[in-house]
Amino acid sequence: MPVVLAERSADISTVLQHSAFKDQEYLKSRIIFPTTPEGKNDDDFQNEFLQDLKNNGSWRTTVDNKGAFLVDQLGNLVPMKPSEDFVPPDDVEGFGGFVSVPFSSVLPLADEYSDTRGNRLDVMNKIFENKKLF
Amino acid sequence: MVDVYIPEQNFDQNVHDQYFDNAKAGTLDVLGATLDETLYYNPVNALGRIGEQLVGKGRQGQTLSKEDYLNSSYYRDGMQINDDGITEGLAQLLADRHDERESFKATLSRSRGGFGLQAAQFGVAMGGSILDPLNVASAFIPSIAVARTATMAAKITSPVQLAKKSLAGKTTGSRFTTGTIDGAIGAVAVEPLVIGAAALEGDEDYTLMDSFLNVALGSALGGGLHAGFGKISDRINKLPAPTRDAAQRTSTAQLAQDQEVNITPLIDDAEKINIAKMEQQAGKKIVYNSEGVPKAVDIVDIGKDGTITIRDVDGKEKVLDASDVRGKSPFDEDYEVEDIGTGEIVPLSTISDEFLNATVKEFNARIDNLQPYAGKPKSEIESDAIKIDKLKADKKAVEIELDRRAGKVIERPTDPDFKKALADDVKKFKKEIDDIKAKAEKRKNKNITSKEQSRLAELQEKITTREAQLQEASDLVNTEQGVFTAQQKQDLIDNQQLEPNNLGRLADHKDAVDEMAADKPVMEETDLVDFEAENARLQEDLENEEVQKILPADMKRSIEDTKALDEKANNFEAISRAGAACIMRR
Repeated sequence: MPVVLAERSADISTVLQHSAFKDQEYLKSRIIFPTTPEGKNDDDFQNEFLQDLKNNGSWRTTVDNKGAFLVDQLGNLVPMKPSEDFVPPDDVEGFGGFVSVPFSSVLPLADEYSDTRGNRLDVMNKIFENKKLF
Repeated sequence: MVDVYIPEQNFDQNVHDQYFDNAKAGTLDVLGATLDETLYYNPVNALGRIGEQLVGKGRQGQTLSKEDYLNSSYYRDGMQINDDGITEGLAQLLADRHDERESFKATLSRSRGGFGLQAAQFGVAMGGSILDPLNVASAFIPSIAVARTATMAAKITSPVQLAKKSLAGKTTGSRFTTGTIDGAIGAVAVEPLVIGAAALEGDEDYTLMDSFLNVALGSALGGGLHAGFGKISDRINKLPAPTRDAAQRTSTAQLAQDQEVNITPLIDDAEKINIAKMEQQAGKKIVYNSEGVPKAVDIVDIGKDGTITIRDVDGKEKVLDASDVRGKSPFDEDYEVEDIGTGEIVPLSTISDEFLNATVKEFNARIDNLQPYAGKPKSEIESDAIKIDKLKADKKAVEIELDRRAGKVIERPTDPDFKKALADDVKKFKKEIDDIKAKAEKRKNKNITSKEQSRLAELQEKITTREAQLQEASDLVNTEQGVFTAQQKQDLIDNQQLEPNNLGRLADHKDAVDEMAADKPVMEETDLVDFEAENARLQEDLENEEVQKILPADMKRSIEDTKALDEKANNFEAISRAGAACIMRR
C-alpha cells in the first residue's frame, strides 16, 4: 500500500475484498480456473479455488503503486477470461488480463463507504449494486 | 543509496495449471468438510436418505430406461443401475448425493495432513457425531441400550455386562471405559443403517473400513460422552425422574414420527428452573453496568419465563437486561452481539476483526440516532435510554474483544465479594431474629405472634440457605456464567506455571510426593523355578501336622476344593482336544 494511502488501507481493503468475493458467481464467470485433476468434477474444484482465493489469496500493490492485483494461494496472478466488453484499466499496465484494480477506481468507493452512515454491509452492497471493479 | 530493483509480478502458466497439485486446502475448510462428511454418514441422515429413496422422492417421476439414464444429466461416473431402469426422482437423488459427497471429498483430498490436523479432524468428527440423535440416544437412553444389547446378546452380552458391572463407577476413568463399551455397542447397532444407505445409493467409496472406523468413532464418542462434554449422561441422570421419563417418552415419540430427536428444551427448562430456584434461594446476584463494573444485588423475583427482577443498590427495582443492569459482563469472552450484517446474535469470537471495527462504527451511529432531542416524548426517551445502555455494553464488549485480539492486557473489574455479601445477609437476618425475640420478651405474656412466627421461620430458612451458599461461594464466583474470565484464566495459567507439580493446595507436601514418586516398586521377572519352589515350601508347611491342627475346618475344605479345581484345570487341555476330535469326527 502506498504510504500516502496508509490511513485509508482499512477502507480500501474492505472495498477490494467485497468487490472480489461478495459476488462469487460473478468472479466465477470472469476468471480462468486452474486445470481440474483428472476424473474430478470441475464445479467442485472451481469452488475449491474460489474458497482458496477468499481465504488465502491476497491483494498486492503494483511496483509503481498505482493499483493492486489479486494473487492466489501460491502467489500467482489470477487470469481473467477474454471478454469483448472488457476494457483493461489504464493505471495497471501489464495486468489487463488478470484480476487487477487501479487505486484511482477504488478510492472513490472507499470514500463513499467511509462517508456513508448505516449498516456497513448494506452500505457496501449499495455501492456495488451496479458497479464492478474488474 | 543503493537502488533496489523490484521486478513486477509475472504470471506463471505452469504454476496455474498445476495449482491443485501444490495448493492445499485451509485448515478450516478441511475441518468443515470433515464435519460435512460426518453429518452425511451419521445414522439419522442415513435413515432419512434410505426413507427418501425407498418411500419418498425416490419413487416419484417417470421411469427412465437404463439407456436414457446413461444419457441424462443425472448420470454420474461409476453409478450403476439395473436393466429395469430408474425413476427420475431416484436418479436426481443419486446425482445430488453423489455431488454432495464429491464436494466434501474434493476438499478432503487437498488436506495437507499432519498429526495436528488429523487430531482436529477427529475432534470435529466426534462433535459431528454428537449432533446425531441416534448416536447419542444409542449411548444413553436405557430402553435403546437394552435393545441394542439384546442385538449383540449372542456374542458379547456376557463379557460386556461383566465388564460394565466391574467398571461402573463415578470416576471419569471408569465412566469413560463404560461409555466406550456403550458407544461401541451403539455404533455397531446403528452402523448397518449407514453402510446400507451407502450401498443403496451406489457409494462405493464407503467401505467396510469406513464402517469399522465409524464403530471406532462410536466407541470414542461413547467414552467421550460419558466422560466429558459436560458429562451429559450425568446431566440427564441428575434430572428429576418425571423429567427423565418425559424426555424418554418425547424422544421415542419423535423417533416414531420420523422427527429429529430434540429433548434439549426439556432438559434446559428443568435445569433453568433449578438454577433459577437456586438463585432465588440465594437471593443474590452479581450484575454489571454497560462498562462491565460489577455489583451484588438482591433478587426480588424470578419469573416463569426466566425474567429476573433485582433490587439495585439505590433501592430501585429493575428488570435484568431490560434496564441499565446486565447479567453478562462485556468482559465475558462468550459475550454475544448483533452481527450487523445479518442481524443475528452471535458470539464475538465468530466476528472478523474487520467487522468488529465496522460494528463499533455502527453502534456509535445507532447511539447517536437514539439521543434525546428537543420535543422527544418522555416515554421514547426512557425506552431509548435502555437501548443506548445495551448498545454501549455491546460496543464495550466489541472494543474489549478487539483489544484482546491485539494482545493487550485486559483488566476486568473485580467481582464483588459474594461471600461477604452473603455473610452480611446472615448477620442482618440474625439481627432481625434477635429484634423479634427481644420485642416479644418485652410483652407481658412474652408470646410471639403468628405473623412474627412465620417471619422467624422465613428468616431461619434464609439463613440456612445462605450459609449453605457461603460454602459454595468461591466456586460460584469462579464459575459465574459457567465461564472463566480472561483474568481468571490468566491467573490459572500463572498458577500452573508457578507450581509445575500440579499439586495445587497440597503443594506443601511436594517433598513427600517426590519421595513416593522416586520410590517406585521394581517388578522383577518371576522365575518359574523359584515360584514352584516357594509353592512346594508352602505345601510342605500346610501338610505339617502342627499346622493342620490349627487350621480351621472351612479353610481345609477350601484347600481341598482348590486342589480339585487345579486337577480340572490340568485336564482342561486334554478334555478340549478330546471334544474337538469328537466334533471333527477324527
